[in-house]
Amino acid sequence: MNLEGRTSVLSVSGGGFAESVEQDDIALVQRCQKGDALAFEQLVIKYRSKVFSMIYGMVQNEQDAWDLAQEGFVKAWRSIHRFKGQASFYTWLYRIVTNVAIDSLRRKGFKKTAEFDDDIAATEVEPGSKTMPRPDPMPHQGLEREEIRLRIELAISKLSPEHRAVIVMKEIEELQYNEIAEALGCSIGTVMSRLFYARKKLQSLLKDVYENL
Amino acid sequence: MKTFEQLYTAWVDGALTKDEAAAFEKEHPELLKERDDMSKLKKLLQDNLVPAKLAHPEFFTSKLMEQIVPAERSLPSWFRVPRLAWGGAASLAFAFLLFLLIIPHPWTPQPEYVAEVLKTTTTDPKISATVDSEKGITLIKLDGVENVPDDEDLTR
Repeated sequence: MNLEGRTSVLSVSGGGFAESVEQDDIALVQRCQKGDALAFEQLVIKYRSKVFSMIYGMVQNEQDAWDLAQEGFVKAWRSIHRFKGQASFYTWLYRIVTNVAIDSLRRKGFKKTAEFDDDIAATEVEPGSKTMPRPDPMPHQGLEREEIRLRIELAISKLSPEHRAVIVMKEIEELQYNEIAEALGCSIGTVMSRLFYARKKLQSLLKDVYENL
Repeated sequence: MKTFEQLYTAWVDGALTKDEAAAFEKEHPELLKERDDMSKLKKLLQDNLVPAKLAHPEFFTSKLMEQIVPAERSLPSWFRVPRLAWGGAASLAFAFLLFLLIIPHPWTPQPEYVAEVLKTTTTDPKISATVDSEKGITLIKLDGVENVPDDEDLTR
């Protein structure tokens, strides 16, 4: 049975199928809580690709993403007895691995002074403010895909860990606000606010790229 | 009450109702160009940040399970007490075993064999030696030795 294929529709499908997937997860989690490592292995097989992809989007480094995904799953196993089923297992797991990734980024010394802060009042960012292109002259044509990707990665690396998380979850994983809020353990309003500042920052860093495509 | 940032984000993502969107646009007409910008940004990100693929997923799982299984499953539950305590108990048991095995005790049976005589030849052919090992005693008898005078001081 191709479990990875089944989970790929988890976030976009509703109704019976998603419910049955969650029921499968609950049964596996209950076995895990009795110490059944083989049940946990099935959950790992099911979610490893999505977890890796999400972490990679945040840390932009394959080896780091691999190590952090391992760390996240180990933490999930060690704390699985605390899972009460209030959220889906997938959301609960996302919360653990996101925290692992955020902690790692913080340890590596993200400079918060260069970042938008959620606490900044709205008056500090003009509602209609026009973000300016980078002053450095950039090639206007012929940006190769690899160059574009590197520019995007560089721009994302300048976001705070929390802002990276919301951008990755929203733009790459295409999660809904409430799913992101559950995964990050914050309110939907905070998620939307973080998205606002993260996008503003990316807009200022990448304007010359998307305007010249 | 939603803040401007929240309304803006919902507007950009198309998450406002028709009425809410119309009200927002009426209040912020200067933002219409912004939405185009944000759409381009979202498209740029979505086109270029494709989900990363996990290379060698089976290896990933096996390495992960190596961390989980030895720690949690291969050891019986009684072994999960602190290792220091088990180390101390093992040391005490070893010391007691040494005490039993090495140090002689009254109840330890004494070996019957006392000594072994390898050679009974003598330099004087008139003297012969015989060995008698009985009842745990090795007795060497010398025949042909001259009598020792009674007044000989043997302590010198």
